[in-house]
Amino acid sequence: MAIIETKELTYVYGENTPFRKVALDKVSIEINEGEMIGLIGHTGSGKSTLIQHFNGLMKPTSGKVLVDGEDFFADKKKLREVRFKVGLVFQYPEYQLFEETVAKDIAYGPKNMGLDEAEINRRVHDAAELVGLTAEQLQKSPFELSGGQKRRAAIAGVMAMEPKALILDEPASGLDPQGRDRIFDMLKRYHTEKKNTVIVVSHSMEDIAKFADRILVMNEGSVFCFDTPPKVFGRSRELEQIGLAVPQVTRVIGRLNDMGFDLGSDVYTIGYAEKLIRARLGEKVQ
Amino acid sequence: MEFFLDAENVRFSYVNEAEEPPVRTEVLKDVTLRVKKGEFTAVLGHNGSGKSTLAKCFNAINLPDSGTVTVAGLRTDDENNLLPIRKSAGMVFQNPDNQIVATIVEEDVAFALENLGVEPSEIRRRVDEALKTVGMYKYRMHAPHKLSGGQKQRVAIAGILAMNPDCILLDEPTAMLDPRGRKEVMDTIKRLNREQGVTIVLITHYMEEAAQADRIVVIDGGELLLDGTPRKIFSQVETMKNLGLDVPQVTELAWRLRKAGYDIPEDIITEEECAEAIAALLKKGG
Amino acid sequence: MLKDITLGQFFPGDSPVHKLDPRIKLVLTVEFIVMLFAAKSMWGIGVGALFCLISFAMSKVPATLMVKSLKPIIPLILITSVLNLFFIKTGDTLWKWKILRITTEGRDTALFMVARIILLIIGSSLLTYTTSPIDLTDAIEHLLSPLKKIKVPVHELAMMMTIALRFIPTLIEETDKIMNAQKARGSELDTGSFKDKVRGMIPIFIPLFVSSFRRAEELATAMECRCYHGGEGRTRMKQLHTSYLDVIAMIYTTIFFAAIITLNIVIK
Repeated sequence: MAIIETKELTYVYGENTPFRKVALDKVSIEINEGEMIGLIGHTGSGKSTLIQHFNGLMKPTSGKVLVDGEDFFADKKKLREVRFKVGLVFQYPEYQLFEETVAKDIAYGPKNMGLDEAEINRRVHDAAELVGLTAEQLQKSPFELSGGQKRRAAIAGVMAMEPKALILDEPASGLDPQGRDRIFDMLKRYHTEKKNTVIVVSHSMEDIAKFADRILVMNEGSVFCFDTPPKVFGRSRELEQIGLAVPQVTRVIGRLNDMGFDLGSDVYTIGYAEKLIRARLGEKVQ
Repeated sequence: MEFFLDAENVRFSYVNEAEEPPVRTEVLKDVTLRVKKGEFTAVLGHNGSGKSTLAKCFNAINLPDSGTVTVAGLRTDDENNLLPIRKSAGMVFQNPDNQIVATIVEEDVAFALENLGVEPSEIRRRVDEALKTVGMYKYRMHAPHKLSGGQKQRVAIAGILAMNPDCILLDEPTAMLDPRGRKEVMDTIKRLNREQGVTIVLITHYMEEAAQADRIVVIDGGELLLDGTPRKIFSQVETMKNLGLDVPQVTELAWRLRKAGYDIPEDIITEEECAEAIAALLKKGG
Repeated sequence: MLKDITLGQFFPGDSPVHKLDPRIKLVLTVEFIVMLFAAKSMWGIGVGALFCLISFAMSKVPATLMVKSLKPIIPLILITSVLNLFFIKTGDTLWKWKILRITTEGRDTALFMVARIILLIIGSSLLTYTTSPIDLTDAIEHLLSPLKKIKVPVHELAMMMTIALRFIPTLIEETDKIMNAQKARGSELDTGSFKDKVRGMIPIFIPLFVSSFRRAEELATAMECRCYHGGEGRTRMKQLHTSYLDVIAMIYTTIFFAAIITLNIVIK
């Protein structure tokens, strides 16, 4: 079943001004419950505008957004409910931390949902566990944490609302390789444990290739393609043409294909490339 | 041999006066690093390893607790050397927004020269030249906040370049940029190094960027651990991974094949080399 | 909402008004304000309005901006007119209801005061519309420089103004982002009652303060790296020059000033 669905979603910035710009042009997509989606597109492709429609922060100029099959813009009460159903983590979410303690900050969302004390507590600890924050860290001021910890605390703040769909905009930007891996491992774990929909917006094809069930590629406000990773990376030439960097291994295999080795066009992880080359060598060695 | 940047046995600690008693955190432990004129050095290390602290030592923002730092033969602990040092080793920071002072691009580029008391007509000439070098001349009358991240960072580089420095220190200049902006900045840095012989010290988390340098220095826990050409450093895949760092995908692929018993060079760092080495393997295998 | 504020915005152009020396422009704006206060009759205000209109036309700044600049001061206009309308009891009665009474004199004063405020805003907006913030701060620094002798930190004040102007758009953008992030966590900034909205401000202001401090610190380091060491020995890329245009502008303004004074004497 579709958790998020858009029908001919169009959004225009600065309508009736000289700065008029179509940010989204008739986007119709369906995101299913429990899917892990990677959302890719360069700056200005409309991906940020798109995700802000999913939780009602932005209102379509025309077309529809349905969450759980419901058009929520009509009713203010529903608009608020939708924010709890579709949790949105912005880029650099650590800049939203404000409470005295990390625990209180994570509790902000659940508190706004009107939950009782015991339930809030459970959720705070659940979310902290998911992102790997210790009980001791929960009692600290968020401003005492390290960069990576702050980032995870902020993500926990949205996870604690237990949204059916969790959207993260560039969750690993600005972190070092270790911090990046940690965030993606955490998201993978969250997804396997909770079985909720996760949508990750990222510039890094390498990162997205590792975990996404399906990849949505946006280009100039339209859907360029929305498919499984092998299918998407099978079009790596076109992706490069619209200014997206495909993983380095994909380019290496592309070069080998150009040299006449027919290795297929759907290679996008190191592990797969290794297997493929070894199999090829194995066959020939025999 | 005269070194342009020279840090000898540098120790540096931050003191947190808010705690009682004040807490000292040693960030640099006996670091010795010498950089030749015209060299392009990349500094790797995860967050908190001390790499930014070291960069700030070369700009006389940080003064070492013990040991000496000289820039172009000038000691950083001599008050009179401050301006000449900052003039010859300029620094670019991570967040482009927090280093642009003026409301118009060209005014910002002029800032350092105005501080140095340069003749107005000479400022004009050097500002125009610097803006042309980074490819931002046609944006000279723009407001900085309307530029993209990559453009802002190029303006910041122009602001340093206008001082005619011998060296530019860049502290994660691409961390907050999208792939396009990253490329713009990297291309600019490389060009300055190759064409104008500017000494570059680049702190980065992106292994592909480090691979483009002449030399890589790895810092961990306030100590200089590895120092060598990108080939030499990245061929130590296991050491790098243990340090929480990464290697380019191509290096890892070659390493994996090597580990599986195939005869492939261990110092592969470009896509071309990787494709060729694999092609050689495939041909030999067949 | 925040983006509607046009006050303090600069619209680049190369009209004669844009080309004036910012120092002269600043002085002439002050002269215009004095002119408005010197005017004792509606006729005088009329002359002021004419001055304003001609200047605006010459600047080629779109007329809609003139109207737009008035938007933030609508409450002030309303209060002024209400106060004058109902609290001036002299003159003939025009309208009466219970204790409320509007008199001819109340009406005239209200009109006079409102016209004066409107012209004041339009005139000073013209200055900011046609002068880049940097030029304006430069002009202020120059004009105030005699105060350095009595230890007023003129350069530092001007630098603070420049930085403030530079960071206003950045902070507006940041406020927007934080607001959206908190809305995503269920803060009732757009869906709640007035009370909810006020309560929702704390999660906005704290992160905003924290990040402003961080920015300030980073900016200070970056400025130091670029050899900033106060105003001493500093030069400027752009030198301020007066030209024949400035002389014309001075004569033109003086003529209007003289006209208003003459009107004051003639109309008793």
